[in-house]
Amino acid sequence: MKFNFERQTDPDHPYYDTGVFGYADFTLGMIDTIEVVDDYTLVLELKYTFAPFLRNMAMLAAALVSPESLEEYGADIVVHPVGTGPFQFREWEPGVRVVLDRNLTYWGEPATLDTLIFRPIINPQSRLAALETGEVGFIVNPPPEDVERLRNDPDFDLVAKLGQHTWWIVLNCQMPPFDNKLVRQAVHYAVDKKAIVDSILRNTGEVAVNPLPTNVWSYTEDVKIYDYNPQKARDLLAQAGYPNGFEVEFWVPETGSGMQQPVEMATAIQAYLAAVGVTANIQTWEWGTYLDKVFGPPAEELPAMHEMSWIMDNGDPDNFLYILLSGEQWPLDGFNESFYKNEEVDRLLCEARVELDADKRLPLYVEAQKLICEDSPWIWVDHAYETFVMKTGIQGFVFQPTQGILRFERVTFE
Amino acid sequence: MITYLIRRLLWLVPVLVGVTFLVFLTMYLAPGDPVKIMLGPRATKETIERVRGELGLDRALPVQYFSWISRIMTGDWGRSIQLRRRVFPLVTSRFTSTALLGFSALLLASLGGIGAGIAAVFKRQTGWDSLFTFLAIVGFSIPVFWLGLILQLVFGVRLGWLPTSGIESSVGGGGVGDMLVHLILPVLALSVEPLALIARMSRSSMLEVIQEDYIKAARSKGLTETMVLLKHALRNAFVPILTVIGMQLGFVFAGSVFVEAIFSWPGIGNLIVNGILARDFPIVQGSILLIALSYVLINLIVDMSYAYVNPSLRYD
Repeated sequence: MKFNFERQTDPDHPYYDTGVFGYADFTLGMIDTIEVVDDYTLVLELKYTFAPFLRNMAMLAAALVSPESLEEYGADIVVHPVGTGPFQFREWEPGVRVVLDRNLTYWGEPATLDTLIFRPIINPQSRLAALETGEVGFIVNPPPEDVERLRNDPDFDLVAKLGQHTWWIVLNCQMPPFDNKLVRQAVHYAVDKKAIVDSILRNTGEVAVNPLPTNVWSYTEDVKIYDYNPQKARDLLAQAGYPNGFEVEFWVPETGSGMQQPVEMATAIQAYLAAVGVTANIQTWEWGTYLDKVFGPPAEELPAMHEMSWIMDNGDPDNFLYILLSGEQWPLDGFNESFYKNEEVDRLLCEARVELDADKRLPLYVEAQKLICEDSPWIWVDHAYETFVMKTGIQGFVFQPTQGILRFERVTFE
Repeated sequence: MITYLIRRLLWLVPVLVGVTFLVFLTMYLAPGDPVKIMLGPRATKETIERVRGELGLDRALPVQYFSWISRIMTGDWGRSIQLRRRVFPLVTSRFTSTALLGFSALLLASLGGIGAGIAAVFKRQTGWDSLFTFLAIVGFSIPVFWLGLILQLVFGVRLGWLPTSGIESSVGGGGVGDMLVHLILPVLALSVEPLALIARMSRSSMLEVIQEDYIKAARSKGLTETMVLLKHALRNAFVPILTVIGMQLGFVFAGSVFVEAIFSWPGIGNLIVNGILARDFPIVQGSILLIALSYVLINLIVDMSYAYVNPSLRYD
């Protein structure tokens, strides 16, 4: 572990140049010293108190690779990975398949499957076709329009599990008109989230009432809830001094990780806003360009509205609320892209991240959620389901929502 | 002939430099940072800067270009930014898959197209000829990606005759037979449009030729219509047909991007698209270089074959 952690965080480490470690600082950056006590004991000294740290140790960046394999293959370890999981690597032919075999020396209960083959099939229709012709036995994310049919098809089992994901519209809290809380609340009331989830997402997600995903510890619904109410939106706009609405810029990516159907959703939201007098001018961008445009520039250079989503890293509420909504996390320090700042929220979130007692953290997060929902720095729209379809008879598949990990080691089939 | 060949081969160098430099420039000017995309959203500023330095992406454009070119000359095509694998084996193996798909489609399109064109000339001024013209228009109006999905649905899902994705079966796959079976649907999807074009070109080229005096002479010798068309007309009509076939090669490569995406064919089109999205410069550059090279060489072969088809054309 010492070798693996230092390899990722110490630029002077002999094997530092054998990989790229985009998550290393984020996951392990708070570690100060690593002391190996014996074969099974490690003492990690942190630079500061960080309550979610143990959860970070379950993140992918904390997974281990074999030092011997690294020594032998260097940067080519990508084609000779040796890990500690229930399956071991056989081959990776890019664009064709990755093949894993049961790890016969696994420390836990051995996997039930002899061999596991992953195949990349990018087009959702083609993926479904491959399942229906029997070329594969299991697929992820079928086309949303086929979900209902597959649910009722006796040949297949459809499993929809909530990930730890939220899709939202970032409202630029530092610039008019969204520097006014009433305006932010107004546009939040103006959007019919349920209709978007029903008809655009075809129920591949659930309506968000809180920025935090429902399956994250400390989640509460005891907050201000923005049910669709265009009349209330118009009243709030009038109260805020915009009886005739206003015009804003609205940036949208064409595709993107976790972004579901960004353009269709944006178009619907644009129509809902138009109904209460707000004109949102959509501008679409290619994903790589989009990330560059929205991450980094100060609030003055960002549009009034843009789309974003987040998939949780470690399952701790800190990883949503602090990183995305604390006033200390304005870009580039963090991901608070709406440049939202509420002193009381900041205090609660900071206190919660250094408090090690979960019972004491809970009320802090609940209180923070209430304040955030009142302030409405985003229009949170939905939490996506991860959808899997498999042949009837396949059993034992487990989906781990944190980091969206698929576990096949207990899978059996008739 | 030999001097012509050497001259054409020398022209390769400026063409390839031009193409690769253009691609380099486009990738460089396109917004979106390869390092940020590679490291993901959680990377710190320091890590981003460090990696950018390691990859040499902080240097001036001409410096980057010349360092890339000189490494290519020594056989070092670099490492993919995204996949972390060596570019050369990756690109060549993907290119082979695309070439297999592309040439099979072009072969089918050429044989089918010329055959259909000749058949239409045989049946000229009948209902068959009108039907042919109608089908040809339909053929090159069908979008490749739509046709691909329909073929998949009909022959894969409904009839269950053919596999719908990949280059071989997941389990118990491998071998030439297995690959050929996987090749059928993508080749069909990819060949319809060039087939229609080649067929139309064959028909009109043949119709033009049969107005010529030597065809009348051949007929007056008492030769059968079959002999006249296949022996005398076809060969003379062949030069424009060959040109169209050569030009379709570009279409086949461009169209393979869609076909590969639909049929999960592990070709170079897919690799380039993902490479562009991830701003994976080494992959995009290497792939384009290989495609440009093959395109230029094949057009050279087409030009050379004119001389074979029509001995009155000579290159000096």
